[in-house]
Amino acid sequence: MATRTEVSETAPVRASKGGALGRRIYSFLSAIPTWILWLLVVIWSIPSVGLLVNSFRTRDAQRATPFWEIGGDVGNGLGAPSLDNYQEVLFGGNPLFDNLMNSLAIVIPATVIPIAIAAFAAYAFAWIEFKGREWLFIFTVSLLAIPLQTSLIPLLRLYATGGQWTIPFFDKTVRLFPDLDLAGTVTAVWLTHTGFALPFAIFLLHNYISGLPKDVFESAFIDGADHFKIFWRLVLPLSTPVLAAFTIFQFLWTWNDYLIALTMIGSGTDALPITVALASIAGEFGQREHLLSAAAFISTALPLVVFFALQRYFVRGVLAGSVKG
Amino acid sequence: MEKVVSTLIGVVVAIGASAVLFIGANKWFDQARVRWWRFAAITGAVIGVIISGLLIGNRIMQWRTSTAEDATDLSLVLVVLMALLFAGWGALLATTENRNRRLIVGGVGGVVIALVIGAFIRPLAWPAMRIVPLIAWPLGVAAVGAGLAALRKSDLVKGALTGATIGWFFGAFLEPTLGSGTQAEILMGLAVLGLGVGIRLGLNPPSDRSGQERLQARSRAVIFVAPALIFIGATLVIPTIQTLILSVFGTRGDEFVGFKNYTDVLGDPDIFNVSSWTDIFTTGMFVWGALLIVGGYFFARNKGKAIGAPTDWSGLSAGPVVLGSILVAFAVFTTLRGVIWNNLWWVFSVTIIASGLGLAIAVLADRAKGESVAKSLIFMPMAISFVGAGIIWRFMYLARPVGSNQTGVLNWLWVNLGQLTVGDSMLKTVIMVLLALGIVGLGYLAYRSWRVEQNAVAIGSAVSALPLAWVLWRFVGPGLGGILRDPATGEVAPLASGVVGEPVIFLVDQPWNTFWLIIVLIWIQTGFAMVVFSAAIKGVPAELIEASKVDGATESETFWRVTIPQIAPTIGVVTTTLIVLVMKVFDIPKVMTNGQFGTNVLANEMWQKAFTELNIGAGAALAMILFFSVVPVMYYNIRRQREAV
Repeated sequence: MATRTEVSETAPVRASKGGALGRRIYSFLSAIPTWILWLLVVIWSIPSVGLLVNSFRTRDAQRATPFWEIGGDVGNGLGAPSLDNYQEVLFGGNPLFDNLMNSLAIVIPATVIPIAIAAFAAYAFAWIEFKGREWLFIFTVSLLAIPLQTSLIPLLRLYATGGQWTIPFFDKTVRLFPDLDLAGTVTAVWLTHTGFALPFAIFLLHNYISGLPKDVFESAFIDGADHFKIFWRLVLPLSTPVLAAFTIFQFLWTWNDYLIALTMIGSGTDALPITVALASIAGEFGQREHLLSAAAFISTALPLVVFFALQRYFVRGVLAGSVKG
Repeated sequence: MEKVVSTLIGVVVAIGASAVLFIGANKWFDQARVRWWRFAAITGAVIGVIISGLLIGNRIMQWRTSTAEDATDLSLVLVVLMALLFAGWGALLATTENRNRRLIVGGVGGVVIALVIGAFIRPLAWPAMRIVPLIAWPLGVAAVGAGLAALRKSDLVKGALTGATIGWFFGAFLEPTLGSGTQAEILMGLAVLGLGVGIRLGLNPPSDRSGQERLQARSRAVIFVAPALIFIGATLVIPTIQTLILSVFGTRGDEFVGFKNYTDVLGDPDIFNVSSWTDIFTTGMFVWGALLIVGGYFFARNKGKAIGAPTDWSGLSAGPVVLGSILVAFAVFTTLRGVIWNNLWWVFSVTIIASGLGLAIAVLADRAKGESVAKSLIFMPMAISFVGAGIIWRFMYLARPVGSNQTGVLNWLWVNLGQLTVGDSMLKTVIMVLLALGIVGLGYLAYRSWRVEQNAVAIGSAVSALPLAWVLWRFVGPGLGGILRDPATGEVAPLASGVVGEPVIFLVDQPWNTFWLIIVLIWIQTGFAMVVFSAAIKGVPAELIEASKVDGATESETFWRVTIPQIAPTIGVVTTTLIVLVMKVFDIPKVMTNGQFGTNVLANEMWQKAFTELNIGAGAALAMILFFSVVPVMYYNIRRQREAV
C-alpha cells in the first residue's frame, strides 16, 4: 500500500538490494504507517467506548472492575448489563429528560434565528452596494476572535436589570431596555448565542454567497425582481450546502455549550440545559456517580447522531470556516 | 409531557416573533415605493410607539384614571393614541406638496402632539427651567449645526434649525433639575420642541418619485444588515466596551480605581509567578530539549548545504526540533506555576500537539485503506461537548486506593505494568523476548541501510531502537509503571497482601495534572486539525507531486519540500484557530477539577472572580487580559480579510 511517509523511504532500497529476508522485513515495515494509524484510532476510541459500556453497568460493577470486564462476576450477582441507569437518570429524581427539553428550547431558536439573520446580512454584504460595506464587513469578521468572556458580565446585568444609560455631564439615567427578568431563562441563553454566532455565520455564508455566479443576479434584476425576491427565490435555494454546514456547526456549538448557559441561567432553576445538569451531577462526587456515564452518553447521543448522519456538511463547514478567507 | 408542550410553545413564539418583525420591516419599506403616504404613516406610528414607550418605561409619562392606589393604568391606551397621532402627522406631511402649507402642517402638528404628550407628563418630570441655559444651549448648538451645514455645503437655515432644536432639548430637559418645575414649563418646553421639529420637517421638500425609490432601495441594505448589527452590537461590541470600563472600577463597579484591578490580578502569586525561574535550567527536560533542538537544527543545516539552501528539513531534523521545543516548554511550564503559565501551557500544548498529530494522521490516512472510517473515528470527539469529554476522561483517569481494583483504564494499565515488571510471569518473558527481537530487527535494518548508504533510514532505525532498549532495561532491572517503593531506599516495597502497584492520582498530582487535562482538549481538537490538513493535502496539485517524483525525490523529500510549503497557509490557519480557542478554555478544568490543585486557567479564574466572589472589577480585568491576548490574532484575521476582499 502506498503511503507517503517516512518509512516508505525504503522503496528505493528494496529496488536496489535483494534477499528474501530483507524483502520480508521491508514489506513488514512499509505496513507500519497503517498500523500506527489504526493504533491511534483504537486509542482515540477507547475513552468513548469505555463510557458507553460503563453506562450499562450497575453501580457495583462499575466500582469493582474495569469496563471491559462487562458481565463478569462481581461477587453479588449484580454484574449483568442493564438499562437501569438510563431509566433512573432520564425519569428518576431531577429527570434529565427536562434538561434535554431545555436544551432543545435553547438550540432550536439559537440555530434558526442566527441563520436567517446572517443569511440576509451576508447577502447584503455580498451583493447590495452601500456605503461603508467593506469596512463593516471587515469589522464584523474581526469580531470572530473576541473571547466571549468580555461580554458575560454586562450581558448578565442587562438580562437581570434591563438596560440603562446615564447621560454623561447631565447625570440623568434613561432606561433604554425594559427589565424583562430574563436572567435564569432559556431566552437569555439563545439571545446570547444568536449574537455570538453572527460573526462566524456571516463570514461563512458570505464566503459562499459572494461566490455565486454574477449573471444569475443580473438576469433576475432585468426581470424586475428586487433583492427580497432574489434572496428567497435564488440565493436561499442555491446556498443549501453552506446553510446545512452552518446549521450543524451551530447546533453542535449551542447544544454543547456550557459557559453561556451556566452564566445566564446559573444553577438551581428549572431551565438548566443538559450540559449544566451533567456538570452538576459530576460535581456531586457521590451518590449519583454511577449514573454519570449514562447521563454523559444521553447528552452526547443527539450530537453524535447529527454528526454521523451529516458529517459531510460538518466537514465542509469546518473547512470553509478555517481554510478560506 | 407538559415540558414538551412548553418547550414547543417557547420555540414557536421565539421564531415566529422574529419572522414577523423581519417581514414586517420589509413590508413597511416596500410601501415607500408603492404608497408614500402609507409609508410615512407607518413610520410615524413606529416613532410614536418608541417615544411613548421610552417615556412610559421611564415613568415620565402616565395615564391613570385617578390618583388613587388602585386606579386603572391606561398607559397602553396612551401608546396607541401616540401611534395614531404620529401616523396622522406623517401621512399629512407626506401628502402636502405646497411649501407654505408644509410649514404650517409641520409646525401645528408638532405643537399639538407636544401638548398632548405634555398633558400626561407626571409632575416629577417637570423641569425647573433657567433662562441662561435655555438661551445658551439652542444658540450654541445652532451655531455648531450651521457650521456643519456650511462644511457639507448644505442649507445653513436647516442646519441651524436642527441645531437649535437639539440645543433646546438639552437646555430645557437635560440641564434643569426635574421634578421641581411647573406644568406651564413642561408644556412650553415641549411645544417649542414640537414646533422646531415640525418646521424642520416642513422645510424638507416634498418627496418625489425618484427619492422614494432610492429610499426603498437603500433601506433594503439597512433592513438586511441591521438585525445582524444590532445583535452583534448588543452582545459583543457594547458589552466589551462596558467590560473595559468596568475593569478600571472597583468591586461593585462604582468607584474608579485606575489600573488597580490589573496590578492586583497580575501581582497575585497564584496567577502570575516567576520566582522559581532559575530552576528551569537544571531540569532534565530542559537539557535534553535544548540538545535535541540544537542537534536537529544542525542536521537540517548540514543537509541544506548539500542542496544550496540555508536549511533542509526532514523527519529526522524537524522531529527532534519539535520534540525538543516541547521538552523545553514543558520544563518552563512545570517549573513556573500560576494561572497565566497554566494558560500558556494549554495554548502551547494543544496547538503544537493537536496540529502535529492531526497532520501526522492526515498523512497516514491519506490513500490508506479504510481512510474515511479512521478519519471519522478520530474526528468524532468534535461532536462531544467539553463537559462530556471531561467526564469521559474522568473515567480514564479514575484512581482507586492502593490495593483495590483499578477501574480507570490508565491506572489499570499503570498498576498492572508495575505488577508485571516486578513479578515473574510468562507474559513478562514473552514481552522481553519480543522487545529483544525488535531491537535486533531494527539494528539489522540500520546495518543494511547503512551498507547501501540510506543514512536517513539507518539513523532512524537506530534511534527508534533506543526507547525499546530503555523499556527492556526497565523490565530487566528496576521495573516500570506504578510501583510502591520505600521512600528512603527506593526499593520495591509490596504490601502484606503482595500488592506492589501504586496508582497515579492524575487530577491531583501537581504539576502534571494540568497536562492530563490538556490531553482532553488534544483528544478533541486533533480531529479538527486532521480534517483541515487532510483537505489541504488532497488540494496539493497532483502534477507537483508527480514532477518531484520524476525528478527523483523520495516520498520523504516530496513531503518536506513540496507538500509542507504548499499547505503552509493552512498550518497558519489551524494554529491561529487553535490558539484563540484554547486561550479561553473553561469547561474542561471547570468540570474536571474546578481549578483546584493548581490547574486553574484564566477563563475559570475570571468566572470565579466575577460570578462567585462577585468582584466585578477583577473579573472584568481578567476578561480584558483574555481579550488583549487574542488581539494579535484579530489583527491577523483582519489582514487576511483585507487581502481577500
